[in-house]
Amino acid sequence: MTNEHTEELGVLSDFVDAVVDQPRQSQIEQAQHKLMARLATASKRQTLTWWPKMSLASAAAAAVAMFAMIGFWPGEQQLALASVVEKLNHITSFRAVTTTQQGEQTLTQVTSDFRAPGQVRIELADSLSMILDLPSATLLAINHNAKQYRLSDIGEPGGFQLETQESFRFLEQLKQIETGADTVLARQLVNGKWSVGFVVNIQGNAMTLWAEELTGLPVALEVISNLGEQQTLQVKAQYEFEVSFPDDHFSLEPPLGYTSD
Amino acid sequence: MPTIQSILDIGVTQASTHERVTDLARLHGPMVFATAYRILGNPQQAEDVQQEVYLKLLKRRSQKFWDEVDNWPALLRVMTQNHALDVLRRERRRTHESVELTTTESPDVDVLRVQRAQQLRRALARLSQKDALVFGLRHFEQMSYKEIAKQLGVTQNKIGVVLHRVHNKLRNWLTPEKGDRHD
Repeated sequence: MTNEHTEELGVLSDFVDAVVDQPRQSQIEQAQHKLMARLATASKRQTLTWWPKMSLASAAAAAVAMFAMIGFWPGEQQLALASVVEKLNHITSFRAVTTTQQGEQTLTQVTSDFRAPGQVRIELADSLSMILDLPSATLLAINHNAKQYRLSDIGEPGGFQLETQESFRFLEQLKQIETGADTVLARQLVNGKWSVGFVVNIQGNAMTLWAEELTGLPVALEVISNLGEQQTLQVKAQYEFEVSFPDDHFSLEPPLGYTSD
Repeated sequence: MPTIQSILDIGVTQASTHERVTDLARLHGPMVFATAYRILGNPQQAEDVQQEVYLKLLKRRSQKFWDEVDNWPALLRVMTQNHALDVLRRERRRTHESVELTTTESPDVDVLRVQRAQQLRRALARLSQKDALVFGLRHFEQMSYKEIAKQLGVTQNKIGVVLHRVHNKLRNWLTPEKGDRHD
């Protein structure tokens, strides 16, 4: 290699340095976050993929050995999505704590309590409560900071439209999960409960539903949406079922001392 | 037919492979993204390449592979550049060499610099995969001749020859009066 060539390579190197961008720290962090999430999902799926590659005999032999080791037999306790959805038909009350995050930042956290038939109480940020009675189409909104309330007939003009009311029927929405085409993820601890994950389709949107092995009931629902360049929104709902709420929890009576706005 | 023990061993190996890959992602993920970004200049494509590199590692089950790697940053740079150059080539074919490569730069940045970066990327896509790789490792990643030669399994002299050849081509393609003409 000639000196002239070495010099020319140096010029070229300077040219590359001058025109090629370095990524911003925020871009690196965003990419790293997505990478770790992708690897977590990939590992869950991969642990299941080696089974079909085995011969039937060796798979059966391995199954006997492995299930004997962990103390249960497949077919009796293996959780299916259809049974999760079926169990929801018998639920009379539940609570969902929904957290919305963008990157590391928590945008909102909303607690929603439900009791059949059609009683809903939602706790929002800024000390706001909404109590909704769907059968009577009545909404009690309470501002605890201002000690004010508003009682509305949500069936009247200017009130909630039917579509909006439907969005509060969370249990019914969970029951609309399409079974059969779901992808099963490996079990893991979710909210302290051993759970099986299902990649499900709810009203055309792909989500991950975690259901507790022991009870067969949903534990959490995760939705990740790409909002465009570098923006990802993660919504996670954590569930508790058959919650005992106080008698006045869904009462449409305004709290004592509060005034109508 | 595999024994039960060998089947169970597959599970153990997979678990440890995943742990290794996750550790490598934590340790070198940012470097891999930066390497891809420098080649592509596009954060979305760089993210895709970064994920492809690690997903590919997840498939490497052979213990021999994991035992033999003695310089992970260098190997990851080679893998990343290979994937990123594939993307450049696909992009070049898709755009029939006539459309500018995409950029996410805001309009207020130096237009000339962006155009030159696009010309450089287009030129890289025209090189053979190995030539582009050697050039990228040397000039984008500042790797030494010795490191590149070791990773690619060739002599340092060979690296010098390749860089000389690439340099001549790029000088023709990137010199303004000669234009961005094709071979």
